[in-house]
Amino acid sequence: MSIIHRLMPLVAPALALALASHAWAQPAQPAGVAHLQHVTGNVLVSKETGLASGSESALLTPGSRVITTANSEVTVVYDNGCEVKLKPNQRFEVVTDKPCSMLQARAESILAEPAAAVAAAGSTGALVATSGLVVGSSVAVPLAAVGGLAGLAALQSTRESQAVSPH
Amino acid sequence: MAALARPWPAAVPIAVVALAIAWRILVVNGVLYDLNGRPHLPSPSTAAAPMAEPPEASRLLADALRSNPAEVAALLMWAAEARDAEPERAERAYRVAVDLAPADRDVLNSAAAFFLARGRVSEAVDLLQRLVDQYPDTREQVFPLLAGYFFSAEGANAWHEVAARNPPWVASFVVSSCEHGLDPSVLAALLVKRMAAAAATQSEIACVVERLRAAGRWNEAYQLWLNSLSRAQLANVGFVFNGGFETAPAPTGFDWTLSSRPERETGYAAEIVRAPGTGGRQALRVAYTGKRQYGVPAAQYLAVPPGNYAFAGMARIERMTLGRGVQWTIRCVAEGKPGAVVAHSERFIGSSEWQPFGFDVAIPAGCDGQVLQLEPVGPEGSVAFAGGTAWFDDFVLRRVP
Repeated sequence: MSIIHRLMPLVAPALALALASHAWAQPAQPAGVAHLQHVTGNVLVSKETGLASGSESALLTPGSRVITTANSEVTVVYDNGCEVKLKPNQRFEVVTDKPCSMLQARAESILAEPAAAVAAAGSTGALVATSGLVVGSSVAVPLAAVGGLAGLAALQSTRESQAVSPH
Repeated sequence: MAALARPWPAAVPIAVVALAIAWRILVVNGVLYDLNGRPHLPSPSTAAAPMAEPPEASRLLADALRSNPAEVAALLMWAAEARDAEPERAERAYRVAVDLAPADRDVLNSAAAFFLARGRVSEAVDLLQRLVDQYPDTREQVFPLLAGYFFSAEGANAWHEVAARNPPWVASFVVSSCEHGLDPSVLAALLVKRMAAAAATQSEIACVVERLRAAGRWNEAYQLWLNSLSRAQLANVGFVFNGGFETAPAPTGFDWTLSSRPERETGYAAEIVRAPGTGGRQALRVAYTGKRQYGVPAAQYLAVPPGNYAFAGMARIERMTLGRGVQWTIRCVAEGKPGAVVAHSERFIGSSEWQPFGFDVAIPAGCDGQVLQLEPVGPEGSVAFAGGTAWFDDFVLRRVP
């Protein structure tokens, strides 16, 4: 019997041990619980070094964030079939302990919608017609007086309540 | 000769008609204008007088308009007289003046003022838009009026129309509104539409991002900045952007800011150049003159969430023998200003080839925005000197458990 034949029975256990020790040495990677689908435009996903572009079928682990930019959309598809659609300039954090309806409601806009911003700005009614002054050929109105600042303050408080990091 | 003679019979009537037209123009203009080209109108003091004052002025004005109903200066004077007593007639006069001279500065200004005073804002805004379009020097005064209208519920649709049309003045309008203190969240919401249409300029983005950051709205500032990046730049944004210094920094948002002041004023010069021993790749080089240090040669704003991180980079030091050396710091930013140091690197002093360096970073809760910057080592605010050259490359900030 050659030396190769004598060592053969030892190869399999040694290989198994090596693989096991290799697996033990690797940091535990969280399992993917969802993936990206229908990626349109520039979609970003948080990684351990910060944001990076997310591609079609990219796996998502719990705690990771998905961010869309202008002209971009994406659907986060959970392994259980739940789908969360993100519109432009929205953010979604991947969590697992919520029902699908709550997950879908967690997609939030990062920038105020123009209509909401304008509505807030106009809520005081401080428009040019009521506060603008025209003297001869010279128009001069302090911006603060016509900017609807009280309405803007309401908008500001709304935005500040969303102090979540982009990453 | 025959060929030369042939055009004469046809040219004679044409010349006669041309002379007749020229004579008519001379006569009409001689009646309407003086030798300096000014119209024969009542003197301004007389015209500006109330209607009840000498009827002679009004009669002269009416005569001038009868002679030439298209004389816009006379129309404006007549409209100004009728503005209070007969506003409907004044409006007709202003409308005629706008139709006759749609790009005339005085016409646009006077008509807009009339409509504003009557509360006809949208009509006034149409005229003001023409005014800022044709006469850039009016923008400083008119933009606040336009902002008050566009950023109201009433004017929202008008803004959408303007944004879609994208006239040349919109960029400076956004910058002006930003600089004059309009809420940056409102501007961000509107600017993002322009960014989506690739119409926004760097100056607009820079101002609004800066204002959002100064207001502590890091999240919105970061998102707006993300929208300004190219697809290639978005491939790997990272916690530290452009950490390999491979692209020229745009001094806006969350990219590197290198000091542009002359080194005789600061004591250093910072630039991104090809680095020795890196196979042609680029790196940050800061050359210290050996003199007193003022300001920061290189910095980058960060929006890193609270937690624990490991910062890693490469450094090459050449004859840094003067002073206590330099170091990278990460400071929380509050109210637009760098605050306490939350982490810092080792001191870079002496000489060394390219070597890795790193330090632990703990971002505390409430520290929504930070700044990573290169500083001289020493007590806060103390006089510092530095000499030599420092190279840096491959910056990465990595989240750790």
